[in-house]
Amino acid sequence: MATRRAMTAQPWWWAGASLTLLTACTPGGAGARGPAASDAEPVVVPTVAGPIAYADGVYVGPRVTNLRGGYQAQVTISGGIITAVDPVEAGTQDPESLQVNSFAVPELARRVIQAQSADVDYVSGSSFTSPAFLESIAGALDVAEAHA
Amino acid sequence: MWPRLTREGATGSTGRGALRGNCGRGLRGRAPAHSHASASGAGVTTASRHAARRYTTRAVASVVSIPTYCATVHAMAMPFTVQVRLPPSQRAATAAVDQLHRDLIWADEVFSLFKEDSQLSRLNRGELAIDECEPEVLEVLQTCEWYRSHTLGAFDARRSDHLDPTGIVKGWAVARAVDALDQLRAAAWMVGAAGDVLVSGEGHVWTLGIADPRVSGDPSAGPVIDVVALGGKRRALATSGVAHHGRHIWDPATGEGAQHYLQVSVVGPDLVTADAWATAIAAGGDQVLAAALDAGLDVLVVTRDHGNGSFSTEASTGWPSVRH
Repeated sequence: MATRRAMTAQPWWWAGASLTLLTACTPGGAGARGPAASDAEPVVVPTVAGPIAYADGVYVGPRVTNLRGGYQAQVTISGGIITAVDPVEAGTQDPESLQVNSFAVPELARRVIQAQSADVDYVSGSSFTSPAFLESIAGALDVAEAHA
Repeated sequence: MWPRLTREGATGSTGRGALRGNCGRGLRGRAPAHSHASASGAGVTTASRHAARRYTTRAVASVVSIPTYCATVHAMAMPFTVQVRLPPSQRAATAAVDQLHRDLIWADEVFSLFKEDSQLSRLNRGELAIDECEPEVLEVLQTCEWYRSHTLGAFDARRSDHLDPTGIVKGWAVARAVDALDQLRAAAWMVGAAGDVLVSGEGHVWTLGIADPRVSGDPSAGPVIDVVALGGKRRALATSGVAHHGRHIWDPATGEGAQHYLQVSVVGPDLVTADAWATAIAAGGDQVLAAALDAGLDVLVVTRDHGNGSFSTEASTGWPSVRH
Protein backbone atom coordinates (compact mmCIF):
# COMPACT_ATOMS: atom_id res chain seq x y z
CA MET A 1 0.00 0.00 0.00
CA ALA A 2 1.25 3.37 -0.94
CA THR A 3 1.22 5.06 2.42
CA ARG A 4 2.93 2.22 4.16
CA ARG A 5 5.60 1.88 1.54
CA ALA A 6 6.33 5.59 1.80
CA MET A 7 6.73 5.23 5.51
CA THR A 8 9.25 2.47 5.29
CA ALA A 9 11.24 4.65 2.95
CA GLN A 10 11.56 7.21 5.69
CA PRO A 11 14.50 7.16 8.05
CA TRP A 12 13.72 5.01 11.00
CA TRP A 13 14.76 7.59 13.52
CA TRP A 14 11.44 7.71 15.19
CA ALA A 15 10.59 4.10 15.78
CA GLY A 16 9.92 2.94 19.27
CA ALA A 17 10.30 5.11 22.31
CA SER A 18 9.80 8.73 21.53
CA LEU A 19 12.06 10.51 23.95
CA THR A 20 15.49 9.58 22.71
CA LEU A 21 14.59 9.54 19.07
CA LEU A 22 12.67 12.77 19.02
CA THR A 23 15.80 14.68 19.84
CA ALA A 24 17.13 13.54 16.51
CA CYS A 25 14.70 15.78 14.64
CA THR A 26 16.49 16.97 11.59
CA PRO A 27 17.07 20.71 11.44
CA GLY A 28 15.39 22.56 8.66
CA GLY A 29 12.26 20.48 8.60
CA ALA A 30 8.88 22.12 8.70
CA GLY A 31 10.43 25.48 8.04
CA ALA A 32 10.05 27.74 5.04
CA ARG A 33 6.37 28.23 5.35
CA GLY A 34 5.14 31.42 3.82
CA PRO A 35 3.41 33.84 6.10
CA ALA A 36 0.31 33.51 3.98
CA ALA A 37 -0.26 30.03 5.32
CA SER A 38 -0.39 31.15 8.91
CA ASP A 39 -3.73 30.61 10.48
CA ALA A 40 -5.53 30.99 7.21
CA GLU A 41 -7.70 28.88 5.01
CA PRO A 42 -6.96 29.18 1.31
CA VAL A 43 -9.81 31.55 0.71
CA VAL A 44 -8.27 33.96 3.17
CA VAL A 45 -4.86 33.90 1.56
CA PRO A 46 -5.33 37.02 -0.62
CA THR A 47 -6.20 39.21 2.32
CA VAL A 48 -3.24 38.21 4.42
CA ALA A 49 -0.73 38.48 1.60
CA GLY A 50 -0.19 42.07 2.73
CA PRO A 51 3.02 43.75 1.71
CA ILE A 52 4.55 40.63 0.19
CA ALA A 53 5.15 41.11 -3.51
CA TYR A 54 4.20 38.31 -5.87
CA ALA A 55 5.08 38.05 -9.53
CA ASP A 56 2.17 37.33 -11.83
CA GLY A 57 1.92 33.80 -13.02
CA VAL A 58 0.63 30.35 -12.20
CA TYR A 59 2.64 28.54 -9.55
CA VAL A 60 2.38 24.90 -8.68
CA GLY A 61 3.29 24.19 -5.10
CA PRO A 62 5.33 21.30 -3.85
CA ARG A 63 3.61 17.97 -3.51
CA VAL A 64 2.93 17.42 0.18
CA THR A 65 1.88 14.03 1.42
CA ASN A 66 0.01 12.99 4.47
CA LEU A 67 -2.08 10.02 5.47
CA ARG A 68 -4.75 10.87 2.97
CA GLY A 69 -2.32 10.95 0.11
CA GLY A 70 -0.65 13.69 -1.86
CA TYR A 71 -1.73 17.28 -1.91
CA GLN A 72 -0.60 19.85 -4.41
CA ALA A 73 -1.89 23.35 -4.93
CA GLN A 74 -1.76 25.67 -7.90
CA VAL A 75 -1.79 29.37 -7.10
CA THR A 76 -2.59 32.00 -9.72
CA ILE A 77 -1.21 35.51 -9.24
CA SER A 78 -2.67 38.28 -11.34
CA GLY A 79 -1.90 41.95 -10.88
CA GLY A 80 0.22 41.01 -7.89
CA ILE A 81 -2.61 39.43 -5.96
CA ILE A 82 -3.72 35.85 -5.56
CA THR A 83 -6.70 35.29 -7.76
CA ALA A 84 -7.09 31.54 -7.51
CA VAL A 85 -5.98 28.59 -5.47
CA ASP A 86 -6.75 25.28 -7.14
CA PRO A 87 -5.96 21.70 -6.26
CA VAL A 88 -3.66 19.89 -8.65
CA GLU A 89 -3.89 16.83 -6.50
CA ALA A 90 -5.96 16.33 -3.43
CA GLY A 91 -5.47 13.21 -1.48
CA THR A 92 -4.98 10.73 -4.29
CA GLN A 93 -2.53 7.97 -3.73
CA ASP A 94 -0.34 5.86 -5.93
CA PRO A 95 -2.12 3.42 -8.23
CA GLU A 96 -1.16 0.54 -5.99
CA SER A 97 -3.44 1.90 -3.34
CA LEU A 98 -6.34 1.20 -5.67
CA GLN A 99 -5.73 -2.49 -5.17
CA VAL A 100 -8.10 -2.58 -2.28
CA ASN A 101 -7.36 -5.78 -0.53
CA SER A 102 -10.23 -8.16 -0.13
CA PHE A 103 -9.84 -8.60 3.59
CA ALA A 104 -13.19 -9.88 4.73
CA VAL A 105 -15.00 -7.85 7.34
CA PRO A 106 -18.05 -9.95 8.15
CA GLU A 107 -19.23 -7.70 10.96
CA LEU A 108 -20.28 -4.97 8.59
CA ALA A 109 -23.88 -4.38 7.69
CA ARG A 110 -24.35 -3.23 4.13
CA ARG A 111 -27.12 -0.89 3.14
CA VAL A 112 -28.01 1.86 0.75
CA ILE A 113 -29.02 5.13 2.29
CA GLN A 114 -30.37 8.30 0.80
CA ALA A 115 -29.01 11.72 1.58
CA GLN A 116 -31.67 13.97 3.01
CA SER A 117 -32.12 16.81 5.42
CA ALA A 118 -32.59 16.16 9.12
CA ASP A 119 -32.93 18.15 12.30
CA VAL A 120 -29.72 17.43 14.15
CA ASP A 121 -27.52 19.11 16.75
CA TYR A 122 -24.40 19.04 14.58
CA VAL A 123 -23.11 17.50 11.37
CA SER A 124 -19.92 15.46 11.31
CA GLY A 125 -18.00 15.86 8.07
CA SER A 126 -14.56 16.08 6.59
CA SER A 127 -14.92 19.19 4.52
CA PHE A 128 -12.29 21.24 6.24
CA THR A 129 -9.04 22.13 4.64
CA SER A 130 -6.12 19.78 4.96
CA PRO A 131 -2.97 21.24 6.48
CA ALA A 132 -1.05 19.48 3.71
CA PHE A 133 -2.96 21.53 1.15
CA LEU A 134 -2.08 24.72 3.01
CA GLU A 135 1.53 23.66 3.04
CA SER A 136 1.57 23.25 -0.73
CA ILE A 137 -0.02 26.69 -1.15
CA ALA A 138 2.67 28.19 1.04
CA GLY A 139 5.34 26.60 -1.12
CA ALA A 140 3.80 28.00 -4.30
CA LEU A 141 3.70 31.47 -2.76
CA ASP A 142 7.33 31.22 -1.77
CA VAL A 143 8.18 30.75 -5.44
CA ALA A 144 5.89 33.58 -6.51
CA GLU A 145 7.57 35.84 -4.00
CA ALA A 146 11.04 34.86 -5.17
CA HIS A 147 10.11 35.83 -8.73
CA ALA A 148 8.86 39.25 -7.73
CA MET B 1 2.18 2.74 27.91
CA TRP B 2 0.75 5.93 26.61
CA PRO B 3 -0.65 8.47 29.00
CA ARG B 4 -4.35 8.74 29.48
CA LEU B 5 -5.58 11.76 27.67
CA THR B 6 -9.19 11.91 28.58
CA ARG B 7 -11.07 11.67 31.76
CA GLU B 8 -13.09 8.59 32.48
CA GLY B 9 -16.03 8.48 30.15
CA ALA B 10 -19.25 9.29 31.88
CA THR B 11 -21.79 6.56 31.48
CA GLY B 12 -25.09 8.18 32.13
CA SER B 13 -28.46 7.25 30.85
CA THR B 14 -28.91 7.34 27.13
CA GLY B 15 -32.64 7.27 26.96
CA ARG B 16 -34.05 8.02 23.54
CA GLY B 17 -36.50 10.70 22.73
CA ALA B 18 -34.87 13.49 24.68
CA LEU B 19 -35.92 16.99 23.86
CA ARG B 20 -33.94 18.72 21.19
CA GLY B 21 -31.94 21.74 22.26
CA ASN B 22 -32.41 25.14 20.78
CA CYS B 23 -29.26 24.93 18.81
CA GLY B 24 -30.63 22.22 16.58
CA ARG B 25 -29.82 22.49 12.95
CA GLY B 26 -33.15 23.83 11.90
CA LEU B 27 -32.87 26.84 14.12
CA ARG B 28 -29.14 27.21 14.19
CA GLY B 29 -28.86 27.34 10.45
CA ARG B 30 -29.28 31.10 10.29
CA ALA B 31 -27.76 31.92 13.63
CA PRO B 32 -24.80 34.29 13.62
CA ALA B 33 -21.81 32.06 14.11
CA HIS B 34 -19.00 34.55 13.92
CA SER B 35 -16.49 35.02 16.66
CA HIS B 36 -14.31 37.93 17.53
CA ALA B 37 -11.34 38.17 15.25
CA SER B 38 -8.95 38.74 18.11
CA ALA B 39 -6.54 35.89 18.45
CA SER B 40 -5.61 36.65 22.01
CA GLY B 41 -8.96 37.36 23.53
CA ALA B 42 -11.34 34.50 23.96
CA GLY B 43 -14.14 35.84 21.86
CA VAL B 44 -17.51 34.24 22.08
CA THR B 45 -20.31 34.86 19.71
CA THR B 46 -23.52 36.46 20.65
CA ALA B 47 -25.36 33.41 19.42
CA SER B 48 -26.44 32.55 22.91
CA ARG B 49 -28.42 35.73 23.20
CA HIS B 50 -30.12 34.99 19.94
CA ALA B 51 -30.62 31.42 20.97
CA ALA B 52 -32.27 32.53 24.17
CA ARG B 53 -34.65 34.68 22.20
CA ARG B 54 -35.39 31.88 19.80
CA TYR B 55 -35.80 29.61 22.70
CA THR B 56 -38.68 31.65 23.99
CA THR B 57 -40.41 31.06 20.72
CA ARG B 58 -39.56 27.41 20.83
CA ALA B 59 -40.70 27.02 24.42
CA VAL B 60 -44.17 28.09 23.50
CA ALA B 61 -44.27 25.38 20.93
CA SER B 62 -42.72 22.62 22.99
CA VAL B 63 -44.16 23.59 26.38
CA VAL B 64 -41.14 22.30 28.31
CA SER B 65 -38.30 24.80 28.39
CA ILE B 66 -34.70 23.66 28.30
CA PRO B 67 -32.40 26.57 27.63
CA THR B 68 -29.26 25.76 25.74
CA TYR B 69 -26.26 28.03 25.53
CA CYS B 70 -24.57 28.12 22.11
CA ALA B 71 -21.32 29.70 21.07
CA THR B 72 -18.77 29.37 18.30
CA VAL B 73 -15.12 30.17 18.86
CA HIS B 74 -12.20 29.95 16.44
CA ALA B 75 -8.81 28.43 17.10
CA MET B 76 -6.34 26.46 14.97
CA ALA B 77 -8.01 28.04 11.93
CA MET B 78 -11.10 26.01 12.74
CA PRO B 79 -14.54 26.75 14.14
CA PHE B 80 -15.46 25.11 17.44
CA THR B 81 -19.17 25.01 18.18
CA VAL B 82 -20.15 24.65 21.82
CA GLN B 83 -23.60 23.82 23.16
CA VAL B 84 -24.30 23.68 26.88
CA ARG B 85 -27.63 22.44 28.15
CA LEU B 86 -28.95 23.89 31.38
CA PRO B 87 -25.92 25.91 32.42
CA PRO B 88 -26.13 27.44 35.92
CA SER B 89 -26.14 30.86 34.30
CA GLN B 90 -25.29 32.47 31.03
CA ARG B 91 -22.39 34.27 32.70
CA ALA B 92 -20.94 30.97 33.89
CA ALA B 93 -21.40 29.41 30.49
CA THR B 94 -19.68 32.35 28.80
CA ALA B 95 -16.76 32.13 31.22
CA ALA B 96 -16.43 28.39 30.61
CA VAL B 97 -16.41 28.83 26.83
CA ASP B 98 -13.83 31.62 27.23
CA GLN B 99 -11.62 29.22 29.17
CA LEU B 100 -12.10 26.51 26.58
CA HIS B 101 -11.16 28.99 23.88
CA ARG B 102 -8.00 30.03 25.72
CA ASP B 103 -6.99 26.39 26.12
CA LEU B 104 -7.45 25.73 22.40
CA ILE B 105 -5.40 28.81 21.51
CA TRP B 106 -2.67 27.63 23.85
CA ALA B 107 -2.61 24.24 22.15
CA ASP B 108 -2.33 25.95 18.79
CA GLU B 109 0.57 28.09 19.96
CA VAL B 110 2.41 24.98 21.10
CA PHE B 111 1.55 22.60 18.27
CA SER B 112 0.89 24.62 15.14
CA LEU B 113 3.09 23.69 12.20
CA PHE B 114 2.05 26.92 10.52
CA LYS B 115 3.45 29.08 13.27
CA GLU B 116 7.20 29.43 12.95
CA ASP B 117 7.61 30.05 16.66
CA SER B 118 5.45 27.20 17.97
CA GLN B 119 7.29 24.71 20.11
CA LEU B 120 6.61 21.98 17.59
CA SER B 121 8.06 24.06 14.74
CA ARG B 122 11.14 24.82 16.83
CA LEU B 123 11.45 21.16 17.78
CA ASN B 124 11.26 20.21 14.11
CA ARG B 125 14.00 22.71 13.26
CA GLY B 126 16.19 21.31 16.01
CA GLU B 127 16.09 24.53 18.00
CA LEU B 128 14.42 22.86 20.96
CA ALA B 129 14.99 19.46 22.48
CA ILE B 130 11.95 17.48 23.52
CA ASP B 131 12.71 18.00 27.21
CA GLU B 132 12.79 21.75 26.65
CA CYS B 133 9.23 21.70 25.33
CA GLU B 134 6.05 21.73 27.36
CA PRO B 135 5.47 18.22 28.74
CA GLU B 136 2.34 18.06 26.61
CA VAL B 137 4.49 17.89 23.46
CA LEU B 138 5.99 14.58 24.50
CA GLU B 139 2.59 13.39 25.63
CA VAL B 140 1.08 14.09 22.20
CA LEU B 141 3.97 12.54 20.30
CA GLN B 142 3.88 9.43 22.45
CA THR B 143 0.18 9.22 21.75
CA CYS B 144 0.91 9.38 18.03
CA GLU B 145 3.27 6.45 18.44
CA TRP B 146 0.63 4.50 20.32
CA TYR B 147 -1.86 5.01 17.51
CA ARG B 148 0.73 4.20 14.87
CA SER B 149 1.32 0.81 16.40
CA HIS B 150 -2.38 0.16 16.95
CA THR B 151 -3.56 1.19 13.48
CA LEU B 152 -1.13 -1.06 11.61
CA GLY B 153 0.92 2.00 10.75
CA ALA B 154 -1.88 3.78 8.93
CA PHE B 155 -1.84 6.62 11.41
CA ASP B 156 1.66 8.07 11.37
CA ALA B 157 2.93 11.45 12.52
CA ARG B 158 6.37 10.94 11.01
CA ARG B 159 7.26 12.81 7.86
CA SER B 160 10.52 12.60 5.98
CA ASP B 161 11.97 15.64 7.71
CA HIS B 162 9.62 16.59 10.51
CA LEU B 163 6.93 15.41 12.88
CA ASP B 164 3.30 16.20 12.16
CA PRO B 165 0.95 15.17 14.97
CA THR B 166 -1.79 17.41 13.55
CA GLY B 167 -4.04 14.39 13.16
CA ILE B 168 -4.53 14.05 16.88
CA VAL B 169 -3.76 17.52 18.20
CA LYS B 170 -7.30 18.72 17.63
CA GLY B 171 -8.89 15.86 19.54
CA TRP B 172 -6.29 16.07 22.25
CA ALA B 173 -6.73 19.82 22.66
CA VAL B 174 -10.50 19.47 22.84
CA ALA B 175 -10.26 16.67 25.43
CA ARG B 176 -8.12 18.98 27.53
CA ALA B 177 -10.18 22.12 26.99
CA VAL B 178 -13.54 20.60 27.92
CA ASP B 179 -12.40 20.57 31.55
CA ALA B 180 -13.91 24.02 31.66
CA LEU B 181 -17.27 22.64 30.51
CA ASP B 182 -17.17 19.76 32.99
CA GLN B 183 -16.63 22.21 35.82
CA LEU B 184 -19.75 24.10 34.80
CA ARG B 185 -21.90 21.29 36.13
CA ALA B 186 -24.43 21.83 33.42
CA ALA B 187 -26.77 19.04 32.38
CA ALA B 188 -24.78 18.25 29.26
CA TRP B 189 -22.48 19.76 26.66
CA MET B 190 -21.39 19.17 23.11
CA VAL B 191 -18.35 20.48 21.25
CA GLY B 192 -18.27 20.37 17.46
CA ALA B 193 -14.68 20.70 16.32
CA ALA B 194 -14.53 21.38 12.60
CA GLY B 195 -16.61 18.36 11.70
CA ASP B 196 -15.77 16.12 14.65
CA VAL B 197 -17.83 15.96 17.81
CA LEU B 198 -17.29 15.32 21.52
CA VAL B 199 -20.19 15.20 23.98
CA SER B 200 -20.33 15.06 27.75
CA GLY B 201 -21.77 11.58 27.71
CA GLU B 202 -24.38 11.94 30.36
CA GLY B 203 -27.52 13.96 30.73
CA HIS B 204 -28.54 14.12 27.13
CA VAL B 205 -28.53 12.14 23.91
CA TRP B 206 -27.25 14.28 21.08
CA THR B 207 -28.48 13.78 17.56
CA LEU B 208 -25.75 14.13 14.97
CA GLY B 209 -25.77 14.03 11.21
CA ILE B 210 -23.18 12.37 9.00
CA ALA B 211 -22.33 14.73 6.16
CA ASP B 212 -23.05 13.94 2.54
CA PRO B 213 -19.58 13.22 1.12
CA ARG B 214 -20.43 15.01 -2.12
CA VAL B 215 -20.81 18.33 -0.35
CA SER B 216 -17.75 20.48 0.09
CA GLY B 217 -17.45 23.38 2.46
CA ASP B 218 -19.34 23.71 5.69
CA PRO B 219 -21.18 20.41 6.16
CA SER B 220 -23.74 21.91 8.50
CA ALA B 221 -25.59 23.42 5.58
CA GLY B 222 -25.83 20.31 3.46
CA PRO B 223 -27.84 17.10 3.51
CA VAL B 224 -26.88 14.20 5.71
CA ILE B 225 -26.63 10.54 4.83
CA ASP B 226 -27.23 9.21 8.31
CA VAL B 227 -28.29 10.35 11.76
CA VAL B 228 -26.70 8.91 14.88
CA ALA B 229 -27.27 9.26 18.61
CA LEU B 230 -24.32 10.11 20.82
CA GLY B 231 -24.34 9.74 24.60
CA GLY B 232 -23.28 7.41 27.39
CA LYS B 233 -20.05 5.67 26.45
CA ARG B 234 -20.37 6.84 22.89
CA ARG B 235 -18.87 10.25 23.41
CA ALA B 236 -17.10 11.08 20.19
CA LEU B 237 -17.72 11.05 16.44
CA ALA B 238 -15.13 11.83 13.78
CA THR B 239 -15.42 11.75 10.01
CA SER B 240 -12.63 11.56 7.45
CA GLY B 241 -13.01 11.72 3.73
CA VAL B 242 -11.19 12.24 0.52
CA ALA B 243 -13.77 14.11 -1.48
CA HIS B 244 -13.20 17.63 -0.40
CA HIS B 245 -10.60 18.97 -2.82
CA GLY B 246 -11.29 18.67 -6.48
CA ARG B 247 -13.47 16.28 -8.35
CA HIS B 248 -10.71 14.42 -10.11
CA ILE B 249 -10.40 12.05 -7.21
CA TRP B 250 -14.04 11.24 -7.77
CA ASP B 251 -14.82 9.01 -10.71
CA PRO B 252 -18.22 10.10 -12.04
CA ALA B 253 -18.43 7.05 -14.31
CA THR B 254 -18.36 4.57 -11.49
CA GLY B 255 -19.30 6.85 -8.63
CA GLU B 256 -16.36 5.47 -6.76
CA GLY B 257 -13.57 7.35 -5.10
CA ALA B 258 -9.96 6.84 -5.92
CA GLN B 259 -9.29 5.69 -2.39
CA HIS B 260 -10.59 2.95 -0.24
CA TYR B 261 -13.73 4.69 0.91
CA LEU B 262 -15.53 7.88 0.03
CA GLN B 263 -15.95 8.72 3.68
CA VAL B 264 -15.24 7.14 7.04
CA SER B 265 -17.05 7.95 10.28
CA VAL B 266 -16.01 6.51 13.62
CA VAL B 267 -17.86 6.59 16.94
CA GLY B 268 -15.70 6.01 19.98
CA PRO B 269 -15.18 6.76 23.65
CA ASP B 270 -13.09 9.89 23.07
CA LEU B 271 -12.27 12.28 20.26
CA VAL B 272 -8.59 11.37 19.91
CA THR B 273 -9.50 7.74 19.41
CA ALA B 274 -12.33 8.43 16.98
CA ASP B 275 -10.27 10.95 14.99
CA ALA B 276 -7.17 8.79 14.78
CA TRP B 277 -9.12 5.73 13.66
CA ALA B 278 -11.17 7.66 11.11
CA THR B 279 -7.98 9.04 9.60
CA ALA B 280 -6.28 5.67 9.70
CA ILE B 281 -9.18 3.82 8.07
CA ALA B 282 -9.45 6.44 5.32
CA ALA B 283 -5.75 5.96 4.64
CA GLY B 284 -5.43 2.23 5.17
CA GLY B 285 -8.66 0.64 4.02
CA ASP B 286 -10.16 -2.69 4.96
CA GLN B 287 -7.36 -4.05 7.11
CA VAL B 288 -7.36 -1.00 9.31
CA LEU B 289 -11.14 -1.08 9.42
CA ALA B 290 -10.98 -4.63 10.71
CA ALA B 291 -8.49 -3.53 13.38
CA ALA B 292 -10.83 -0.72 14.40
CA LEU B 293 -13.70 -3.17 14.80
CA ASP B 294 -11.46 -5.42 16.86
CA ALA B 295 -10.68 -2.43 19.04
CA GLY B 296 -14.39 -2.05 19.76
CA LEU B 297 -15.11 1.03 17.69
CA ASP B 298 -18.20 1.60 15.64
CA VAL B 299 -17.63 2.53 12.04
CA LEU B 300 -19.67 3.68 9.04
CA VAL B 301 -17.93 3.71 5.68
CA VAL B 302 -19.41 5.08 2.49
CA THR B 303 -18.32 2.77 -0.30
CA ARG B 304 -20.16 4.00 -3.36
CA ASP B 305 -22.06 6.99 -4.66
CA HIS B 306 -24.95 5.93 -6.85
CA GLY B 307 -25.19 9.40 -8.32
CA ASN B 308 -28.82 9.97 -7.41
CA GLY B 309 -28.30 11.00 -3.82
CA SER B 310 -28.08 7.47 -2.51
CA PHE B 311 -24.97 5.77 -1.19
CA SER B 312 -23.85 2.28 -0.44
CA THR B 313 -22.54 2.07 3.07
CA GLU B 314 -21.18 -0.53 5.40
CA ALA B 315 -21.57 -0.15 9.13
CA SER B 316 -20.55 -2.08 12.19
CA THR B 317 -23.42 -3.82 13.90
CA GLY B 318 -23.23 -1.41 16.82
CA TRP B 319 -23.35 1.71 14.67
CA PRO B 320 -25.76 4.01 16.57
CA SER B 321 -27.89 5.06 13.62
CA VAL B 322 -31.37 6.29 14.43
CA ARG B 323 -32.43 5.69 10.81
CA HIS B 324 -33.38 2.21 9.85
